[in-house]
Amino acid sequence: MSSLADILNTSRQALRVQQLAMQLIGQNTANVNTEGYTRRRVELTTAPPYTTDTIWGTGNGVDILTLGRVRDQLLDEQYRRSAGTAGYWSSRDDLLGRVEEVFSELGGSAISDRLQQFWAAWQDLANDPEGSAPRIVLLERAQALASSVRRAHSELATRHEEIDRQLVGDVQEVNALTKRIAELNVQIVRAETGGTEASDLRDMRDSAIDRLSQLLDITVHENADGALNVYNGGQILVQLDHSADLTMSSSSSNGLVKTQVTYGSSGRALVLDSGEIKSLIELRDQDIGGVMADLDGFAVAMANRVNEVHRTGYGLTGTNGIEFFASDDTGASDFRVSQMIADEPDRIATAAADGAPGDNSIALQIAGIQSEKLMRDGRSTLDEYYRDISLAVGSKKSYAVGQLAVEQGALDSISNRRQQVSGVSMDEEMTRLIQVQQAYEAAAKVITTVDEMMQTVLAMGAGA
Amino acid sequence: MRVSDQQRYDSFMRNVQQRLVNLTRIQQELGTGKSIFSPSDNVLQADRGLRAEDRLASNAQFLRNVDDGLKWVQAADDKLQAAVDVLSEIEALALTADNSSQNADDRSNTAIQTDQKLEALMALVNGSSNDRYLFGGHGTTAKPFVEVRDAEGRIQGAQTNQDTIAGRIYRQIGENDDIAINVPGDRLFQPVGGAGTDEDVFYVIAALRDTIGNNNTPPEGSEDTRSNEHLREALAQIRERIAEQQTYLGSAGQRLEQTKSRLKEEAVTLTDRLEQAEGVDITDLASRLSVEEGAYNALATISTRLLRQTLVDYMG
Repeated sequence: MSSLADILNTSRQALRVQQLAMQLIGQNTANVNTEGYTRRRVELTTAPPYTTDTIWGTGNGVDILTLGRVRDQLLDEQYRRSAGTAGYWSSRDDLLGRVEEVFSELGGSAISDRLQQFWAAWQDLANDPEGSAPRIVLLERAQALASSVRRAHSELATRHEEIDRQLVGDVQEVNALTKRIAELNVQIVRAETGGTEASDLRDMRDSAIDRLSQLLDITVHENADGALNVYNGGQILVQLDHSADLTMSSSSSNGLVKTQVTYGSSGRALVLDSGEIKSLIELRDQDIGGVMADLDGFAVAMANRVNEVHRTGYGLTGTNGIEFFASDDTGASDFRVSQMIADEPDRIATAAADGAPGDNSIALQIAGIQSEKLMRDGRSTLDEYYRDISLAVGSKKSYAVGQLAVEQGALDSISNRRQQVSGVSMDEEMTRLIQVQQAYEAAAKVITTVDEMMQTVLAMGAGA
Repeated sequence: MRVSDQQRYDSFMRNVQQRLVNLTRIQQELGTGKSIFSPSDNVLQADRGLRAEDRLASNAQFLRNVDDGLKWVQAADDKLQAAVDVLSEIEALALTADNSSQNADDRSNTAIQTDQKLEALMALVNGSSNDRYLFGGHGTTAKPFVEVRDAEGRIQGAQTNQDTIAGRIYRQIGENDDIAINVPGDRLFQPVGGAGTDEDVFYVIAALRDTIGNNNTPPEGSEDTRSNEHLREALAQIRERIAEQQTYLGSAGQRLEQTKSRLKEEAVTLTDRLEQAEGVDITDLASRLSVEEGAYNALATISTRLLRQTLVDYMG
């Protein structure tokens, strides 16, 4: 038969347990808006008997069965897979948008407008080959076109550099994250040795892994001791307390610095199936590199053909055989009007013979280059070729927007489900608050009553 | 199903953001009158729009070329008509002088009149438009026909720049479509290498003047080639030659006018195409705006009410 002291003990334990439950409610409500926080839950059970020979079966009150985070590992895996793909398309969407801005074809000040004005200036000169004014206008238009092409090239080079810098930043972040995960592995294993879940540390580690999954394609395996191993393809990124550093090396090509990323220990390449880093490398090497090469091709073809015709003509000054653009072979980065022409626009060739100021045949021939199919093996004019460059970027961006919508939708859906499981609900917490408060009050009432009973017993003793 | 507070906020934010994006887009479209701001908005439409813009620009340039060509052709035609009129008058004077009723004094007066006509013709053949000589071929900046005068200051003939006089001047009035807008002086007044022959208008008129002034008598030994009748016939042939070139100018003018009409019609079609590719449909925009506004207001009203309410409000 239990004594009053046993009842006091049972109630004291109840107070302790309810107080702990109340503490979790406080923790949960305090972190209702905290990013990466996983709600905590305590599950209660009947306290085990002190001895096996309890006759009366009145029990020993309440005890804690489990205390920890509410999390669904399957959803975590889904989230990380989806985050990699969404990270890839999100980065691609953002960066292609910045590349598209370089061309801003529909803005009214783009290269295609300048190109049109350049051809129109040749036509105007053909209408008035004797005049100086149309030559000055042509020179100004040609310089504006050349300047636009150079600016586009320079902006693409800047985007290239920005992406390379972002890549360096991302790789440094990967190294910091893997290091952090390895450190947290150690702390979690140590903290959980006693059987208590290290919820805060696990939240921190999960947040780090979530971010890592946006940057790189990863898979995660949790060991029995609570430590996590993180893999990229077959390569180990984190194993218990060890993290593999990614190393960067720089190379330079056409004045552009290119950072290469490998595994420091083995020198092996990263496995890039998804993630922001894959997007950055692709954009830098394939997309921007390709557009810059196309722009170079445009500038070279334009200079070549215009110069070829221009060299055969005569200007008002009787000069012959001079180039209109500075060089046939210089790419977009140094596309400019030749100094001879810039110094004296009357040297612009319009006539096929010297001393024939009214002869506009060369001017017309150069204006006619606009409709010559010079590019893509005779399939495109210079205008069409340039337009295709900007449309190709737009097309890639448009595809990225569509893919991002799909992938972001999937990620949001998984994130939503994760929130359903792990997020804090104030209503739920308030309900539990009432529940816990009442349980606490009841336990306290029992203690008060037992106290009164003890007083009664003691009073009985005093009366004797 | 559990609903966490973060879910409710996230969902609200996502929906509000989407509505704001849609509203901003509509506002942009209304403000600019354009439905496409970058190729990625709609690659095919952007392609159509850019092509239409390019073609509109080319079309405008061709129209400018046509107008410039028309000015040249009309100016040349006016000068040639005046020249033909002068030649007809000279022919009439020569015919009168050839009449046996005319005496030496009459013929002397006719010779003076013929000389004045020749001076007038000289001004016409060196006619210009916009400071460019119309009949100098490629030599548009120097007087194409420089008169050669005798000791008494009378025109005996004219010299031309043989290298440039035959040059044709073209205007581009369409893609791979050029048209010559000038009639070079060698086809009109003096062929290259034809100075001092019956094809040289200056020589023929000067000779006619001299024959008439010499009481309608050609110089000795040149009775066949410098007779009034022979020279009149030569002049008539030159006049016909000029008239033929006028016909060319007339047909060139017609072609330019037709091209102008076609280009103007094309400009309307291209503007329409550009409008279709890039322009906004106001009715559609107004309807979208109304839907988005309604959705945004409903979302804001419902969400702000629901987000504010928690069980905390009902606890003592």
